[in-house]
Amino acid sequence: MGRIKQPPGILAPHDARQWSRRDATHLLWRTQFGATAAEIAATHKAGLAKSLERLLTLQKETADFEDTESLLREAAYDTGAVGDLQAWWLHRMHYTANPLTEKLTLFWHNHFATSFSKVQSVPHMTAQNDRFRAEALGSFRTLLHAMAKDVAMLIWLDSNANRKRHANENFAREVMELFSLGEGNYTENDIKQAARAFTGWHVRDDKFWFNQRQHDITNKSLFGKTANLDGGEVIDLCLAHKACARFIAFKLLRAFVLDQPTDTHITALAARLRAHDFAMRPVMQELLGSQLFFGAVARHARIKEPLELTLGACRALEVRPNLQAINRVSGQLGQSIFEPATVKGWEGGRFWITSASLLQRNNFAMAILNGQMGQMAEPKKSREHYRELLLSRAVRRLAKAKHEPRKLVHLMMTLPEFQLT
Amino acid sequence: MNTRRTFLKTLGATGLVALGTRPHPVFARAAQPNPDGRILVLVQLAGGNDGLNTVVPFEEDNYRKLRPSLGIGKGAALKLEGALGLHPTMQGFKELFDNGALGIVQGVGYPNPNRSHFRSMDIWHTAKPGIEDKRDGWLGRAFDNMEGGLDGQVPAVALGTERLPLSLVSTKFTVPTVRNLGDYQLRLRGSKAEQAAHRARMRQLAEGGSAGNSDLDFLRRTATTALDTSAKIAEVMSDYKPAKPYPQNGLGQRLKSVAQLITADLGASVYFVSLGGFDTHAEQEGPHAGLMQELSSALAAFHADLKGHGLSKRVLTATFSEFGRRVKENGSLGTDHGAAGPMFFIGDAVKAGIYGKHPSLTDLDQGDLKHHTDFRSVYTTLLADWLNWPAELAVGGKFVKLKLLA
Amino acid sequence: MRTPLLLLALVFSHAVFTTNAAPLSAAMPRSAVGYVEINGLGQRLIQLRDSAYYSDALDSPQIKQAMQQPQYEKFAAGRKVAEAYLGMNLWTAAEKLFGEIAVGVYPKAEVEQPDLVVMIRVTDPAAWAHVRERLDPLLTLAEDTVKRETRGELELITFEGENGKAFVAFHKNWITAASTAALLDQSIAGLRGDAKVVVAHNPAFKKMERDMGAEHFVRAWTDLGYFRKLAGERFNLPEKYDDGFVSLMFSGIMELAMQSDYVGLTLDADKAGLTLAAGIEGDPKALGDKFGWFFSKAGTPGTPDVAAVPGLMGGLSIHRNLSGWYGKREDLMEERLQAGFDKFESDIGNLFPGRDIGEDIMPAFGSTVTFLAAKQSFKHFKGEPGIKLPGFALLFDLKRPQDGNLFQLVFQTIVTITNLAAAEEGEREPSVMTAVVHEGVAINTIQYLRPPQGDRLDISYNFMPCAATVNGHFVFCTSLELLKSLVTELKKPQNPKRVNRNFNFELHPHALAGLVAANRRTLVAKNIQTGKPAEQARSEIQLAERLLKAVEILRFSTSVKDKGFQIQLEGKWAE
Repeated sequence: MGRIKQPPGILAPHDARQWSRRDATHLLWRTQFGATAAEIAATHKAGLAKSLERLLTLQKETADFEDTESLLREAAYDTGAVGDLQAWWLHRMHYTANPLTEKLTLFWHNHFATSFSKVQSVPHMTAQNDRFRAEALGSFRTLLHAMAKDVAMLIWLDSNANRKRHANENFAREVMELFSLGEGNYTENDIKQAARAFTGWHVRDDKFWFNQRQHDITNKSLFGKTANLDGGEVIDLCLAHKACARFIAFKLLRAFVLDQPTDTHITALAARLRAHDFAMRPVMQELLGSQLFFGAVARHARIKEPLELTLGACRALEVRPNLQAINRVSGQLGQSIFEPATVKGWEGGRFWITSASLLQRNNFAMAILNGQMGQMAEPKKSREHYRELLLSRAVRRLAKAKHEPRKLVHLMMTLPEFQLT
Repeated sequence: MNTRRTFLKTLGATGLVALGTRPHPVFARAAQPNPDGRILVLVQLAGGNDGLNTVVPFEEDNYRKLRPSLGIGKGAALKLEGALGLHPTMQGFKELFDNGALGIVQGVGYPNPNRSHFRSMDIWHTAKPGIEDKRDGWLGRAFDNMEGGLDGQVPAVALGTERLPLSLVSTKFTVPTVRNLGDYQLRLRGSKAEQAAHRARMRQLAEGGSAGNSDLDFLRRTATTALDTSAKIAEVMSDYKPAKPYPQNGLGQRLKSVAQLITADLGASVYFVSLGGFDTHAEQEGPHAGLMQELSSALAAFHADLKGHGLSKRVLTATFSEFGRRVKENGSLGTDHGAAGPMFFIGDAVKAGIYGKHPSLTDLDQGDLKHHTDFRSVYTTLLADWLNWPAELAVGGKFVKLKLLA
Repeated sequence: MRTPLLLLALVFSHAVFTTNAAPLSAAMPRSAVGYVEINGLGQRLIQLRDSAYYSDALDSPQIKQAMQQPQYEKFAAGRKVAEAYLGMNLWTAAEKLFGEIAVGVYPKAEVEQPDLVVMIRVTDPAAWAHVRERLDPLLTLAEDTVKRETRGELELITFEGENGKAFVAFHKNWITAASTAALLDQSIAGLRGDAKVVVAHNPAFKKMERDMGAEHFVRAWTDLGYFRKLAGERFNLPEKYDDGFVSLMFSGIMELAMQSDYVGLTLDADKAGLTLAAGIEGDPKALGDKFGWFFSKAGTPGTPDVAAVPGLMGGLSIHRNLSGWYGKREDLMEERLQAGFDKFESDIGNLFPGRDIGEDIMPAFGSTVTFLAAKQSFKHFKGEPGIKLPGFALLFDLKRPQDGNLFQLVFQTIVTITNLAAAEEGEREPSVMTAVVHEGVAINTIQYLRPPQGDRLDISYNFMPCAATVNGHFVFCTSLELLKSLVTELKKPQNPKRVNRNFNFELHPHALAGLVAANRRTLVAKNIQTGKPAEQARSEIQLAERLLKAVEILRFSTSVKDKGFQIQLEGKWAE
């Protein structure tokens, strides 16, 4: 493969000369769970290129972080309870030096939505989560292959029931519908063929086990190719399918750029995914540095996921979050990590919002100000300070009125504008 | 009545437009998820209700023969039509029937009935008897397939359940489970006056959205709805006068909460409540009588309350259970898991009466009643005729509708 | 939160009881409805200051953090000013002034705020003379609100504030203050030994001294006859209780208190521990049939100590005639609770097919029910659970030994149901019912088909159901090891001379510290999850362990006496 060309058009690099404090805030809110005033200032000072480099290269974690992380992980193994597992990850999300990695880990968790409610194993769920983390800025190709042999995934999709004479289509269907192509890009026959290729991909003694006796070795036909395909070849055929890059591009755009991407956006990003053969680091580097990302169409163009809302507010207001409380509230708002409601993961965007969930989002604002989400100092900073941290835009209707700081912060956090990032 | 429901909304919310997998209306006509504000209330009777002792065929020889101890005699049953009567404690249902507000569909079930609680319950919730696929429920699919989405409306509310009932599980929406109405209170600090002022300020700041389709317009519409609804709920919580008092039992209190939410115009189209304890393997008589009494008194009060508030035309209540019970009583004065059973429908829109024959007590399937009405026919009727929603995707096929509604 | 508790414990633990004059009850005006006295407080404060616990506490991170708060800084500055002014360290001032302290409460008709009398008898008159001298300029400065006059060896001072007047008298040996002039005069007469009518002469007070003794570090007393006149015959309590638990646990005490002339409270402490006791008088028999089920007979052994099995963490036993209580439930509790009982009967009825709860089951229970928790090991597994819980046991006397079979049947039903549920969830190894014999007693239990393996077994492996009938008791237990120890203990003859107890709750914090240590990592993690930094989370759990280790036993018990009823809280410090 030759030199990879710079992306053209809407994904061309953003003009660094226009780098502003608001750009820095935008970049941080999309690449981590909220931002502190100090982080915004430092990112602005460092400039776009340096900031992207920091986000995309592995930063060393502090000894304190490593110590607490392993303590929380061990405790989750000890109790075997999903609440402790969730707290472990929330701690990572909030305190890591590599926030983009955690955001992408959450992205892949949603993409390969697997729930503790069926897997019922802390070790299997953490192993899968660690795999997402390892490939967060790695390769989607590698990750998709790994998921086909991931123990939690195999349990989740009943792979042990996929046998030579009774193919179970669960996994093959999800590989195409949810993991690589999206609905409408395959036929029922494609699923039947693929399911046969995955027969015998089982779990034994808590490990992946290729059960040769249950593997179908007759010919299968998929996407124009006929041979004795095995699961790995099916995955490669899916990756090669033209819908795959578009499907991943669409989801990446929704998670990092805007809730309502257009065909132009998707086509442009899909081309880059192909050019980089699904390597995430260069794709993210181009996407996060692009004119599209910093363009008007991408500003305040996503409805905050519950975790962006809850952890983001804690970060902005410098609250050490009570992870149990954050977990509970985020769950009520529809995002319970390790327990997505369905195999499809969270739909996101406007589906986060109903009048009921918006009311709960408003009540979260009161809860955090009351110290129920972790100790919080009385808000005493300036209007401008909170406006930048909570809204990062001007809200004319709020500009003139006089309010004591506490009420002002509450009003900002209950504005419709606050729900957007 | 609710202009907010007529706002436009595009499919773009889902982003699927761009993927080209759906039609491409830039401004699709907003779905009218609930054009006349019609509401469906589902009451689950968990554990498998003994339908045979609920709607009693008191003159059948085989009934008396197979239910020597548990059978309800002709004198005790509350007569409906012909040789059918209600369990003696169901005075409330009897009055509803006489007043033309109760419909009974007999012999509801599905082919190859499963007698495991969990599996059969899943079948009723997912409307998928053939395959084990628990990713969403029949109502959840109905929400997901709503042309144009719901524009921020709460699709459904489950009351008093820890977990969301599978029926309501949607792959897109977060359906709230409410333990008490306080969950719908806007929490503020300070004196009453300060709170009122702050709430007014919040509402003023949320306003100003056009009927446009940007996310911000959508959020503003939903925010004002949320504030208005929570204010109304606070009002009905502090000052709610049921038209008739509710019985002091669990179901009565849950239905009272449902009535309060409906009165406060929460906007949900579906409410779900559950009553447990129907798995009566031993000493059935007392507990089952208690359950029949709770069910009947609670629903009668609910209907009377809605009528008093002028809502009984808009609300239809339906009961279901995962299965009926074995025709022959067992050795410990109880009954074991069975198959087909009756469903009840309550509301002014119901054409009162008994639908379908009582299943035969002589032609049994492994000792159980055979169904003659598929539950998906009932679901199709509820979706298509009552809520005016597309039913086919939700119930997984075309099913004959019942002429249940007036 | 924990630190003040620690300090409070210290105040009492290292104090020695001393007194040198007639108690202040012999000086307090008679018409009090309530009376409190504290003896030797100053001395105890000094002992506290000099104790190792105090310096430990000062070194703790919590106190250090608190000392950086602005409130503490203000306090410290104020203390410096006061000490400079008095020319005396505050500790010393407390030691020399606080000999005996007493407070009397005098209700006023139609007024919510009662009148009060306070008396202090100083330990060191010379030090008091010094302080009084120093106070002089202050009193002079406050001339417009203070009136002073001298009457013989007394100095009388009247303060007039916004909330009324206060009348104070200084004597070389004592200080007294009252909210009315008349009460002050009576107090002065009392302190001089001239008064004829004092609290000590109140028959209800005499009864308390008779029942509870006169010499205590702290004692408090209320004239209940008088109090009933003020608060209503039943203290405004309803005839029927609206809470089943309260009815079962406390109704007898409350009913007896309604007949009593007094309620007394005493607190004593020495190097070994502390005792808090509350007493009322009255004859339980006088309450008749309705509450007969509540009381054990005075002079009989009542409920035993919780069986001293190895690693006992705590337990509670109650002595009640459950069947009597259950049978009278309609008289004792409100109508709306009755439906709950019916539901209970139909639910629990599934476990006792063909039996009536009220007629067949409740009468099978003897007089005592005990619940206890003790350390358990996991030697029977090839591994241990990730979370280690103690073993639990529920014991009750059987009125007729043959009813043991009834409960064995229930045990088997429960085991079968849980086994089925476990098999359905697939989280637990399947098991079969089996029996072992220990010291001639058959124990029914389960046996896993494959012994569970792994060092982080599911939490459910803490529960190994077992049951036995031994020596007239039926025991449900979650640990075979614990049940074997119990069998050994229950076969021993009971100590006939033990205190009669109607209720006995024991906590062995020392043993609980072991439980904390075994689950330390989980507890620290849970603490971190609430938002605390790891270091703080660790030190808090360590502190909890230290505090637990400092206490040998806490006991909360009630006993029936010939003419009354006592409630006691006792604590013993670890060596």
